[in-house]
Amino acid sequence: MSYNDFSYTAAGDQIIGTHWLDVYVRSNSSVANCYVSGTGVAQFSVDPPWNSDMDVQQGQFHLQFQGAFEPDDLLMDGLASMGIDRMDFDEPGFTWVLGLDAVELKQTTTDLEIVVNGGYREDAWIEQMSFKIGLLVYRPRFNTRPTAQRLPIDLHDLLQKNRYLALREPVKITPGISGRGIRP
Amino acid sequence: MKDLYADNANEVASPKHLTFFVGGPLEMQIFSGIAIPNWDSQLDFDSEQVRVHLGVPAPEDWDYTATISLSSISSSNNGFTFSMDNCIVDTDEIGNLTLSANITVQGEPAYLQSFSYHVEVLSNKKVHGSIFGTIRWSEAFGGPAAPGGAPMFSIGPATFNPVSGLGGIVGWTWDPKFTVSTSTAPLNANGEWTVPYNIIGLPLDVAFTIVPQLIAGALDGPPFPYRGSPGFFPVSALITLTEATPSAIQDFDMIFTMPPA
Repeated sequence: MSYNDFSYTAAGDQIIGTHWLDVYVRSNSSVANCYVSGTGVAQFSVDPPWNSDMDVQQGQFHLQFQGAFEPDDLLMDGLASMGIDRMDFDEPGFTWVLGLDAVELKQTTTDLEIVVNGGYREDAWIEQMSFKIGLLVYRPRFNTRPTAQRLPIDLHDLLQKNRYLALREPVKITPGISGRGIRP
Repeated sequence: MKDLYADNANEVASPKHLTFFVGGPLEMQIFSGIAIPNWDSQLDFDSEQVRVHLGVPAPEDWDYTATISLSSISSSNNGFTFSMDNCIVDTDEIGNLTLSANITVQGEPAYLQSFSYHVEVLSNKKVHGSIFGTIRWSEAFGGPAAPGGAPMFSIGPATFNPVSGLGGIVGWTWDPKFTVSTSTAPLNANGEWTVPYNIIGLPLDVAFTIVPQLIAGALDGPPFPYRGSPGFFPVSALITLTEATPSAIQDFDMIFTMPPA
């Protein structure tokens, strides 16, 4: 099925009000270690062609986010929710339709592309689309090298005592003297 | 009330669910999708409560955020109203998470075919009895011998037997009750292979020595001049899960040695 490309490159087409968060996370089923959360609004300012004989015109919106990933990032999984934020409607009297449907996320090196299937009928148009993006990413930079852990303090004490006992004659605890002693 | 189910493609389109851990570790779940209530108005101001069954059990104690947005609407007049409010995440009769929203449509006619949702659920209770992490190694030591998620490592609580009497075995003995094998395809990023593991069901207040082991034949390598059996860093990890720290994250590096120059 061929889709119209709704991603016009008019001067007014832009993504505005974006905010991004990168959170260190862990997963027990994948090596993902970073959750990237993004919100914003995409503007599609140019009204596509229409006439009253047309059925629903299906197409794809392409939202491009340059530099959404770091150079070594790998997209493991992700989701995106899109909403009709502002509609444009000029000619009353006809049955108009606006719709947003399936979403696909693509990574190209450090860029993210979100492809949104959608459609319109008559003189109605999605002038602004709100989005909320969640990306589960493997980011090697977030890896920490495993470190040798220190022994728990009580186990450390026990080992010290065992070594002490093995090296010297039993000591006699003298009554009346405070402090730690080792009972033979 | 109109009930929609995330596992029914005619009722919820493109449902998606992510799970990961933050902090403590606490379980975070993200849900998104397009609910299709197909609600309409024939001039009246028509309201309906829509309940989306997300199909995942609710954690024991949790908080949430949720948003909904118009996704597909139509009308044949220039007088119309579409509204959505009171977006609540709750549980259904069997304890699964649900998203409830009030939708209202007015027009002559007007249709609200679908709305998109985005729900974040954070468990307030730390994950219990789990030790998970990754095993990593340089691609210089070789890659997986088999494609896909064929087991490469076994990992679990083990005890070291320094001497087991005449003819006894010296080395690690793994507890079969808690020892697991990796089952995810290792990922090569930036010259390093990584595979996750997850040990579950561990009791609290018991000291475990977690030890990884390369499964024989699972590595296509190591190439010359590396030799012998692999070592791990750390060799083992002594972990005691407690009420305050009921789960732990532990990573291991696999290494091979080279003969002296």
